[in-house]
Amino acid sequence: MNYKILNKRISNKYNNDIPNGLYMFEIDKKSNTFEKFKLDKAEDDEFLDSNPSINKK
Amino acid sequence: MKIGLFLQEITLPKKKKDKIFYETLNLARDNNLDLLVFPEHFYCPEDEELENYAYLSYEIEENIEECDFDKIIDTFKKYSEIANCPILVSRADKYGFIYALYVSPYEENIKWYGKHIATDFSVFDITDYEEAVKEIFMPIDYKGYKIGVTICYDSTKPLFSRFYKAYGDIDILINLTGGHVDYKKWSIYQKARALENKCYNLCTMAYYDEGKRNKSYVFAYDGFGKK
Repeated sequence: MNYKILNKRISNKYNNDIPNGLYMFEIDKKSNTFEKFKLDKAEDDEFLDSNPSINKK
Repeated sequence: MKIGLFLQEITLPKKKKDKIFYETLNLARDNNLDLLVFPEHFYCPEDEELENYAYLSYEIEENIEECDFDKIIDTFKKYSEIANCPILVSRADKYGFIYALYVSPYEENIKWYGKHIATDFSVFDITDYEEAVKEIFMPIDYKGYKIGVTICYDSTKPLFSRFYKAYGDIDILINLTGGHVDYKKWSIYQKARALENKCYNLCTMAYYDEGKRNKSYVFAYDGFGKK
């Protein structure tokens, strides 16, 4: 992720351990969109349906 | 949304720490940050007063000690006004209870979180935890983003981040850590929380002990686990 250190001169190399550094990250949730976990997918699990008689009279 | 993570050095003399603290608040204002994040056990000029405040009400030898919640909020609100944006901070109170607070200069809404593990006084120990848990895991709702907060070791267990999803999907998780961590372990914890919750995960911490071998870091991952 891109960042800026607001109070230090920045070198080009990745540096995430500067004491008293104020790191600014610009977060945009539109760039973070994807399918969320769909928990109901578990119902399609072949093993769940493998023996429908289990625990049923 | 512009989020500032402050990697605070708190081993310096008080005068120098105070100067840097106010410079940081002013930098947040000058750069129009939307949120300024401090580490667990962060330092502020009113450090000594805050050490003597009780975040909760405590029953000690049949006496009830009233909490100093309002005084704590007033202190942090003042800082957020200088920064001109909400701040996220974490400290221990006089009995060792470790809390995190989101305080905004322009809204009354306050979000709090209590540390669960790796602490002498866990939020699990408060008497009304069953009720409090609804507040503890209610995300911050800010500028269209849902934000969850955890403290330090709570980020090593999936439960405490995942529980925010009881209120729906969240966009950002922020972990406030003490500092001096094993880089490999801590970066993987943060990445895992980002991936399993499909959200941004940010983390900052402090340098609090010159003798420690491990360093302190800021971490940021998006929901794909990209650093």
